[in-house]
Amino acid sequence: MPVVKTKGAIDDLPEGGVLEVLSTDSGSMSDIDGWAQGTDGVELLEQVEDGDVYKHYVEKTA
Amino acid sequence: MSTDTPSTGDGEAMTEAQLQARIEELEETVAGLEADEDQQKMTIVATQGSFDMAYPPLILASTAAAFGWDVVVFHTFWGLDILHEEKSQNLQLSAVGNPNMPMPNALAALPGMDRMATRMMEKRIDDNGTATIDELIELSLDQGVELQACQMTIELMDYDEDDFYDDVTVGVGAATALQHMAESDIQLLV
Repeated sequence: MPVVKTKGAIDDLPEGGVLEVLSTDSGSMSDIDGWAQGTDGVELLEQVEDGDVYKHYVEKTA
Repeated sequence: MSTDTPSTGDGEAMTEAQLQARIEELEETVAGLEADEDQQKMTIVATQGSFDMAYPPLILASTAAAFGWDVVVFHTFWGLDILHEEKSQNLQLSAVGNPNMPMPNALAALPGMDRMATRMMEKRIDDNGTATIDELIELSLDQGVELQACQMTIELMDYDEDDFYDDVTVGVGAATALQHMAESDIQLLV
């Protein structure tokens, strides 16, 4: 679900905006990375593991 | 490949202007073909309507849509219940003949045990924070997934067009599904 929800949230962002995604799904590290690589118009800036929470920073490039 | 000068239908050599026009025409066609190739297409045929089997098509469809893919899920037979507003709230799971579930068949076949197995699964899903079928349908539609209801099944099960969620496509049959499948990169039967 992190991927689908991230996509939904990114759609609402203006170009150049950065989305912070907080997830408790350990699969999200690989999933969001894979999604950002395979999808146009988004770029994964950083991923941070903060205890149980996985943080992802995605920029909307188009 | 012929090394003769390209000619018009009359057999006369093409002028530079004609060649130029032809090149432009071909470039446009190629660009069109390349654009089509860029977007991945997936068709899923959903034939199952039990609580557990509603998940694979919806998860795959919504995730693929998040990648920008063109996704169609063709719901037929029991799979149609997933799109039925009322029935999809009440999909059942049976533990009979299901070695993956910790209930002996003799027990699972007793009256009321389907409901119990379903409730066990619903609780698990709730506790884990997994999306509900409702949420997945909404997400899928929001992301532009086309959820199609098989017309033959609608008639077979005596359903009505209004029984389904808004934005569900009706009036489509196997031929439409096959056409989309022929154009798709990925075709799945669940």
